[in-house]
Amino acid sequence: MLMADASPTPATLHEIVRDIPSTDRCFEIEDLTIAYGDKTALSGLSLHVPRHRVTAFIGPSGCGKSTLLRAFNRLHDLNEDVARQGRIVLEGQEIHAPEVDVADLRRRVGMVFQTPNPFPMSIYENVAFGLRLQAALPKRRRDEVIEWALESAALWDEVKHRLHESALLLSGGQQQRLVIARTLAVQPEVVLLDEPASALDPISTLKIEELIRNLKSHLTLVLVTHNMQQAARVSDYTAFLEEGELIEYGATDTVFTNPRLARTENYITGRTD
Amino acid sequence: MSIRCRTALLLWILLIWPVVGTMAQAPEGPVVGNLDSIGSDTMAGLMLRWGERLEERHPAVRLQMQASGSSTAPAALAEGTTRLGAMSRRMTTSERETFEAHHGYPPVEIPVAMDALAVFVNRHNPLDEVSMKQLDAIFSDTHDCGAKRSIDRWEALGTPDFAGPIDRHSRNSVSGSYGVFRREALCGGNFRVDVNEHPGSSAVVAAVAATTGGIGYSGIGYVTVAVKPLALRKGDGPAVSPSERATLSGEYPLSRTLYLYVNLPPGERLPATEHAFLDLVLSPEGQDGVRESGFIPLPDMVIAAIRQAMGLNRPWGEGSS
Amino acid sequence: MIDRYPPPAPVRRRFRDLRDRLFTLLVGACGIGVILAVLAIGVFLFVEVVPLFGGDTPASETQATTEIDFESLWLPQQYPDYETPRYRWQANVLSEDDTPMFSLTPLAWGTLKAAAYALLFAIPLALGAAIHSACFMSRRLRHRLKPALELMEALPGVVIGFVAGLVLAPYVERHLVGALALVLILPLGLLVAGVVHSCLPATLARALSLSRAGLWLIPWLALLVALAMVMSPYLEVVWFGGDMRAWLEQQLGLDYAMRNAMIVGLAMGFAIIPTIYALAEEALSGVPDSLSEGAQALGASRWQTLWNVILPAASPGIFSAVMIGAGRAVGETMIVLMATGNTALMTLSPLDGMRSMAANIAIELPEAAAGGTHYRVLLLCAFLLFVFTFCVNTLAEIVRGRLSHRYRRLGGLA
Repeated sequence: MLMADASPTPATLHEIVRDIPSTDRCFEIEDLTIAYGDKTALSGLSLHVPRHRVTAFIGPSGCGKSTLLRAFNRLHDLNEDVARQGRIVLEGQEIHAPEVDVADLRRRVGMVFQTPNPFPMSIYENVAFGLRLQAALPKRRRDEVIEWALESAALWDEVKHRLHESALLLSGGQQQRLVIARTLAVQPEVVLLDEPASALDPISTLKIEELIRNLKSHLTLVLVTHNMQQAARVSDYTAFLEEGELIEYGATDTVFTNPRLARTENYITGRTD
Repeated sequence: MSIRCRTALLLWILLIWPVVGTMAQAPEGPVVGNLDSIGSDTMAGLMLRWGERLEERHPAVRLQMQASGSSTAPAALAEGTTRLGAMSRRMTTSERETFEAHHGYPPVEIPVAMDALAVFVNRHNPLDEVSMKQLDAIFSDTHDCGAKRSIDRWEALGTPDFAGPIDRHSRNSVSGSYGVFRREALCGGNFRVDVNEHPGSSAVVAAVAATTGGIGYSGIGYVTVAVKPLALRKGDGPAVSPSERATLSGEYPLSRTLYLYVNLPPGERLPATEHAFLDLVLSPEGQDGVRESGFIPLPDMVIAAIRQAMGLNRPWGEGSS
Repeated sequence: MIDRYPPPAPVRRRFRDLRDRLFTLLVGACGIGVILAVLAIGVFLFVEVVPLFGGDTPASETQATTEIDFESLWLPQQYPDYETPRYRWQANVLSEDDTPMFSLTPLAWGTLKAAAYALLFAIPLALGAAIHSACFMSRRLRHRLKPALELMEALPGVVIGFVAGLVLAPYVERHLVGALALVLILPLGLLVAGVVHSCLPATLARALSLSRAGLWLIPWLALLVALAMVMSPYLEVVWFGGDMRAWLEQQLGLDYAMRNAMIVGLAMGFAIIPTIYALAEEALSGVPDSLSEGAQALGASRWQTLWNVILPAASPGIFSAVMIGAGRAVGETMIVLMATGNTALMTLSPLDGMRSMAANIAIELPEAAAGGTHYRVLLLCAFLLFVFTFCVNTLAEIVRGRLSHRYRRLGGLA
């Protein structure tokens, strides 16, 4: 249980963040700075992401939340203009260490993007894609894993009779759940969700949120969202970022009902001045 | 004047001017115009040389030439694309008949020079002479000259130190040289399928120069130091080199005459440009040009006879040919 | 708030409509004009070719009348001077008794052989370049690569054919062993470079990053080529007893023509690489980034993403690129004319020459009397080339149409 403090200084922030016992920390970020060319996206950011909880990153556009999310699975490696400083530690191991296998890291830390991006293949092949990359499973075992993944993503009943149809024929909400199933099939430890429901209708959004709540029993989830109500409904911890800096971080209840800083309160209540 | 009037006036001037301009050209004026020629690649250099000399004499005349091969001349003459055709072989009967069918009269054939079709090998090749029957065996697969088998390797020609497969090079079928070679060396038979065809005489020479085991033929004027012309042996006779004397006397088996064909209706006189050109060609200056190009000038008596027959001794404009 | 300005007067509106309609008509007329021009070519060729099979004697009675039908054009014929039936193309007629031999089979064979060898050389290089530049190359380098490839496309076929026939062919003949060894040496050398690169320390690996591989591989490849050429005479002595040509003849029964299918493959391949590259690269860049990001987020390596996601997604575009390249290869005239000996052979060997239909038309059409059999047979060749290229390009366009239709659903693109 995080404690409220009257005078928020950086030292105090660190204390708050340090209150998550180290054994419960999935990700530890230390002094992370990321810049694209001349533009600094994140500066000196430190926080911890607890295991088996849902952590939400909120903030105005351009505050760096997507940048931070992509740093977790080293997606910035694909972009040559990015400069990075600082440490990111996953379960005690620094992810940028030279001996780390990036492909394995990305299997352990899955990602769901804002716009659903199923491959132009059948539903079955989409979910099997990640499986085929790892080990050659016998067909029966593979079918089992695919069924389990689709069930965990709450999609199995809707597609079980048309597994070999093209994934592009599904609706937006179904496609996004397919992408989640695809991510789950490789049995990750962490799932990163970058505004997963922003392109979907309200009913699909609710389904995704329910999915997130169910998944946290055995996965760590990190969610980036514009939707404050969604963050309040779904997440356990919330981090508020603005212009590349971490402004406030704490239990969702506290951040939303009793934020320590005025800036946080202004953002949450929607005041622009 | 308004813009409309000015535009109208400009259009009028543009339309009338060419008409007036052509009317201003009197047929009896100085020799002026373009001279078109289509035909032999072998004679290309020679025609250019003559064209240059012609421009020196008559600055307003220009020779425009297309030289893909002798066989292009009869087709162009028949269709009227050109009045002057250069050929390094004589027209065949069917080509003559095609011309007559189109125009109603035969073309005028004017011999202008003599040439030896040299057969040459790479300069590293020790061979110096070859018989006509061997040429047939090398180049043909029908052996109409009586050769028994094909000759595929140099050793079979008696050069034990120089061994290897024979690489054959030839002109393509539009060439007059091709026609002469086929008639004289292959006795009308067919070339083998694997004879390399080249679009120009210098290409044949370059190809043989680049291949150690190469053999090819072209007009003697195109032979360079990189290739070695062979002496030809006909039947039991001696091996004859392609020299001027041997060509003129006919001893050299592959000697040929170079022709100009003119589209001239009988009873009409030569147009001014053609008259000037032929006057130059069949003059000492023109025949000097022949020698410079590597061909053999016609004997003086022959030239005199042709000039008389063509009416070239009279200045242009007097009487008929 | 400013005052409202009056709407355009009715006259001006009508004038605007008229101008609009006129412009639409003009543009439409141009488009239709182009289509009509193409159709007109086809109709002209067809009309000229029909009399061949109609049984009429050709326009010029002096031409030797030969029986032209499907069999005489495509099946082996028994000619008077030969013992066995064969395919021969010999249009040159010396005298009345001479019969021309019009067999299109060796010409068609030569056309397809030249195109096949050109594609064999061009497809791996062009597709490799397209894949590398679309997926791996740094953006700055890619922008510099495109003008260079456009320069390749601007080179006239005559120049390429000339260089191939007069410079490349003799050189390859002299260094045959080295040239053939390159087929093995280059891929092996690239593998070695890849292995070495993966073992480099981190700082060096960043300096020689894969995105700039297009640059730093050049000295390595040049070194390999130079090595192969320099070693060629020694290798020839060691492996082939000093003369590879003799070895080929004795051991494999293969004749070596200096201007052969290999040279044509290289030259024509060089000419069609830019075409295939441009279309394939467009297809590959058109694959939405979200697809490759999605695959990478699942733990796929660069190669796995490429092979399993990007290439299948781009495959219709790549297929159509290859087909358009093939259409161009079939029609290319000057390169085959100058880089081969125009020998009408029908063999599969890369060491033999060939005679293509297009080159044949270029050589013989000036000498063919208009309206005669020879002339019409040559136009038949032209008609066949026209139909073939038309079909290939139409098929390629249909395939491309399906591609954009498919990608419209992905929502990211097209």
